[in-house]
Amino acid sequence: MKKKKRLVLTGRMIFVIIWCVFTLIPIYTAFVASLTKYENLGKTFLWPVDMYYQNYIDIWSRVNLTGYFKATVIYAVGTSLINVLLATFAAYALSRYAFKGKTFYSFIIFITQVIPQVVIAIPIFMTLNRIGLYDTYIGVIIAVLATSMAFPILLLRSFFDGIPVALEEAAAIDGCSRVGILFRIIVPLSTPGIATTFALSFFTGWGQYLYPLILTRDPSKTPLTVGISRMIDNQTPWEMVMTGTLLAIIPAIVIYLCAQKYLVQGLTAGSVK
Amino acid sequence: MKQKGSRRIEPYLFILPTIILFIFVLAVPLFNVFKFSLGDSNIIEGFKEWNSFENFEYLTTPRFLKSLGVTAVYVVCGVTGIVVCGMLVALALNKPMPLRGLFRSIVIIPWIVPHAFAASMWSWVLNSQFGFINQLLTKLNLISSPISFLSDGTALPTVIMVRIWQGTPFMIISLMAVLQTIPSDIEEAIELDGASAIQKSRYITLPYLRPVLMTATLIITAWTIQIFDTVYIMTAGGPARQTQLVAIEIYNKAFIDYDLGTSCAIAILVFIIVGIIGFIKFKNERMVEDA
Repeated sequence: MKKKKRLVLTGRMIFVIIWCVFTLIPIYTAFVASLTKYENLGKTFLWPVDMYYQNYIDIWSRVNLTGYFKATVIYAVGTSLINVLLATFAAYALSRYAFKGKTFYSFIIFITQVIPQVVIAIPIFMTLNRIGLYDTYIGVIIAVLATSMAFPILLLRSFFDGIPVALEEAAAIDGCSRVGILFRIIVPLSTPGIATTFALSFFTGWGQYLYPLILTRDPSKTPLTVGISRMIDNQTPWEMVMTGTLLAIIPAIVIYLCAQKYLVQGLTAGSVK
Repeated sequence: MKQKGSRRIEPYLFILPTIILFIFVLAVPLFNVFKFSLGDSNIIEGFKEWNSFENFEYLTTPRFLKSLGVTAVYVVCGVTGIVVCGMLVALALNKPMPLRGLFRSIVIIPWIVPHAFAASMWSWVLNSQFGFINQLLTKLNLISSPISFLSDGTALPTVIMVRIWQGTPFMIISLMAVLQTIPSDIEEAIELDGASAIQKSRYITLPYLRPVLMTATLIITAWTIQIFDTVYIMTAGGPARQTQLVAIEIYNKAFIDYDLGTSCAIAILVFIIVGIIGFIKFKNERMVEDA
């Protein structure tokens, strides 16, 4: 019996390790390539042959990486700030009020989750073009918001639902307005939820590809995703692409590793009841 | 009295911004998709003139049907792979083991890697000249000449594999959360009664997992149908349209062929398919909530 248990554990371990290797292969090989001179890419295998740190300096002049970073940060921060604010209001309404059309509203929110970006991207492009928001940061941000607002709302709602109504009643008796209650009582009590929402929306904004590709033209509004993948062609400077890729994903991975507990908790609180 | 009136309008003020966003960035564009699909349209002038459903004729051509077939294979294989791998990893990680916390962190990483970078990294790993996999296989003497993973016949399986890499973490997270809620005394009781591992998973684990498995599978299916970036960056639909997903069709029709009408006709088809999946998911969640 004991022997069998050991065997099962070993089997599980081996499987998990194989999966982890599969998960990490692209990131690890990107790391190796990023420390290799272009001429030596063919010689490098498990470890960089020449430890060519210069790539990390050259990439900034090779492409407009500063500009890509700036645009990416604007998209990510813009999306997450506005998303958190809108979701706080909407989630509060869903959590604390019974109102006519609530089911319909929930349905609409749900719909936004499944509308494919690629289906509406082109009409959005034309509308933005007409109202003069084509090739602007805010144009991209509102487009991203529309398809990504559902999750923050559902997530924050489940947090708000967990806060006793009695607290608000006490504050209301003390003469606190609804919005005051929301920002003085509910929001501080849901800090983990707000932080999770912020982080997840940040990742959403950080990873956008299609919208910035279609909705902007000015190179200064090109984000990392579009800018770096644009280097891939017949004569791809792979060491540069990998250096750029790593620089672009490391911030996200670091945030994830630091706030992992909350993120995973928050994700499951919102999606899995 | 005044108090009561304001109380009635309050919730609407709270949801107003999201409603405005919904109308202008989703409902109006969606309406326009329908409008453009009904006529001769292009991205500069928009709708020009009614052309009696001519745009939809493209949907019946062998050229498009092949693209639909490619998408079907991509979605079915990708989602199956994600469900199977996600389930195996979640089950394997569910019980204590050395370094479990570390493994758990690692398996979720692909979920936060933006699609564009998953595409760039995998393109390099699978590079036909110096890619890691080709070097590995050559060093192990398994192959004599490098394999072109993104060429004829291999491109579709390759992009499916990348999709599985990307999509599995979401499945793992969803399933692990539920697995934690299975009371351990039930499991212990059935073990004491001498149930086999298969019986245990059939009568305890699966019934617990089913609702979440359903929801997560549906949402992953909806996401997979609309994948654009990963495949566009890795293959741009090639070679010879072997990875021409409908999402790429939509993009190319509008921006390369300047045929917005047809692009929108395809978009409507995709929207209907995703809408049906979404509807099932909505119903499904309702059921779970009511139960």
